[in-house]
Amino acid sequence: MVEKDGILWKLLGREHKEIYRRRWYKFKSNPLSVLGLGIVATVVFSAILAPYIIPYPESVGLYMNFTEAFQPPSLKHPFGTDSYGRDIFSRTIYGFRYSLLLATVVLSIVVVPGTILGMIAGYYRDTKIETAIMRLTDIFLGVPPLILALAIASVLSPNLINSMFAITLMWWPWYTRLAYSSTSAVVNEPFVKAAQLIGAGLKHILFNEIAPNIMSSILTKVTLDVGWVILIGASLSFLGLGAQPPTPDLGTMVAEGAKYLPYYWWPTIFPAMAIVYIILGFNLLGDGIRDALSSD
Amino acid sequence: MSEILKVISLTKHFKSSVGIVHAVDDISFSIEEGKTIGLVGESGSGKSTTGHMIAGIYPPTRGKIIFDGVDISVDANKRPLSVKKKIGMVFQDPSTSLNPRQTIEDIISLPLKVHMRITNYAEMRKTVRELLEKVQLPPDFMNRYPRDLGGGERQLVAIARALASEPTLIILDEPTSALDVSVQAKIITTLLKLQKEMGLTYIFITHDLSLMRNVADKVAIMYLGKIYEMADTQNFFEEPLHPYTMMLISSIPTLTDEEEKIKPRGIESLGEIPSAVNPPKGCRFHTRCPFAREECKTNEPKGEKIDGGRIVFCHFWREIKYKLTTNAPEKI
Repeated sequence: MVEKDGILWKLLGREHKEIYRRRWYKFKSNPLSVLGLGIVATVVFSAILAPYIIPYPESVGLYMNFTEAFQPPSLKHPFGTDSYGRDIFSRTIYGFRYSLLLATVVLSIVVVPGTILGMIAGYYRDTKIETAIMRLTDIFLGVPPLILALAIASVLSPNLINSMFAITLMWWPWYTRLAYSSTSAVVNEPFVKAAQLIGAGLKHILFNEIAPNIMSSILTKVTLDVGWVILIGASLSFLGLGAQPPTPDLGTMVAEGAKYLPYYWWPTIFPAMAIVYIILGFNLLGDGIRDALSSD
Repeated sequence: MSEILKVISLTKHFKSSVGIVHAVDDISFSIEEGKTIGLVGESGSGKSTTGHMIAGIYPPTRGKIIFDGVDISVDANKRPLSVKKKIGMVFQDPSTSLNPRQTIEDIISLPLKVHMRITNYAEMRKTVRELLEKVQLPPDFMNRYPRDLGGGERQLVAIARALASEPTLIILDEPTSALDVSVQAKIITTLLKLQKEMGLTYIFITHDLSLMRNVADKVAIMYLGKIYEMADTQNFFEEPLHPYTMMLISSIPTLTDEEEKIKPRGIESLGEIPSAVNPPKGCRFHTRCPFAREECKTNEPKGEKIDGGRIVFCHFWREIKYKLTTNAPEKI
């Protein structure tokens, strides 16, 4: 038995097996959701196992073999080779690691504080606390996301850590906004009133009464956001503000290869398709999770 | 018997986009320990607002609520914990007053944690089990979720939660109106049994007059935020004095001739409750009162105390009573 007061336990609720079974049934009844899950699974597994499964591990780093440069796709090099003669298939698979690392780091930093801020704002509706938090998020949301990340990343020196920092800084308001609107919908429910009348503390009301009721929308957004964070990260890298060569980051690879278009198309098209593949997978998965969770 | 709760000139005005809503205006009453007071009225009469102020959902605009000699005219988070422990509340609809994401055990254990200082897990489960037994629910319900229960069972869980802190006063805000008729009786008998066993005081809010007759010791009838008549239940039904009371009692559907006979005659329900944003001047009931005169439109009636702790707020109640009992005309 799981520890009774564990935080995850509280948030997800000790729901019946039957509810999970019903959600899973709903999820798998949509073939697109299953396709999304399949794509995400391949991405995650190949990212984790990348060092062991890529055919040319040396291609990942600063490696040059000009005799092999610009080889078109073949059995030996499924995605061809780039201007330095590196295997693009190996680099693309390895690139999944950076994409997932970026999304994981950004979202794991952003989700919890963003959600808590939103819950506080929603709980203290019509007070100065709400005004302060929500106007601050408005300021961040008022600037187009890519422009804000560009501004931050260009002030700092261009590398992977700073682009993560830039995306983190512009991403939390979305969770604050979502948690705020979900909390506002829940906070006037009689069960919250009942807890207040009993004399429960703020911590209990936010985490035991409200949080379990807004978790499904937050979880759905997290899955959908993985794709978007990767896309923004790739855009920053493409503009030269993210990971720097020779790092096999997908956005960086697209930018490098773009110089040789249209004749040598494979250094650009394959990493770009990999980006599309990841984002498509997470979006389909996110849609499926949303549908499955909204059934109860 | 001592007075456990006293309400003095209680007033609640809400600001809204169309003006100030006079939800409750200057009402006073008191309850003795172990008794039930019924607040009756149409929707919009302010009966729920009164209950919510006593429970502490929002503070009164003016006036005082004295509970056990302590002034509690503030909202719940400003009240001392000892007061919150002593006042329980049961909401109208148990499908929204129980958190859908918590088990019955979680729901009932909250007041135990806050007020009874139970931290031991085994002791907590034992107490929750006892509480469920007290409201005649099987103890294995504690591992279920509200959605697994029927409406009546949910309401019993809400009652068990209200009992958990061992309160003396429980506010019952239309506890049966969201339920099927078939389970209403069970809720009411359970409530009455608990009252007898634990000496509870109830504030029973309802629009159902026949239900009121079975549960309340004293009835206060509310109209547009004001109390217009207050009497012991028996007097209230057998000899209503205020024209509004007569109107309500005469609108109870009856089955037998016997029941029909004891209904007040010569008064029919007409019109609907006016807006509380701009309540009528003078007696607020004059727009619907068949006996209204010029005086009613300008002067607010003062409460007149009659024997037996009865209070009626009407300028002409003696005349109306005389008229109705001597002539007993079909219509006036």
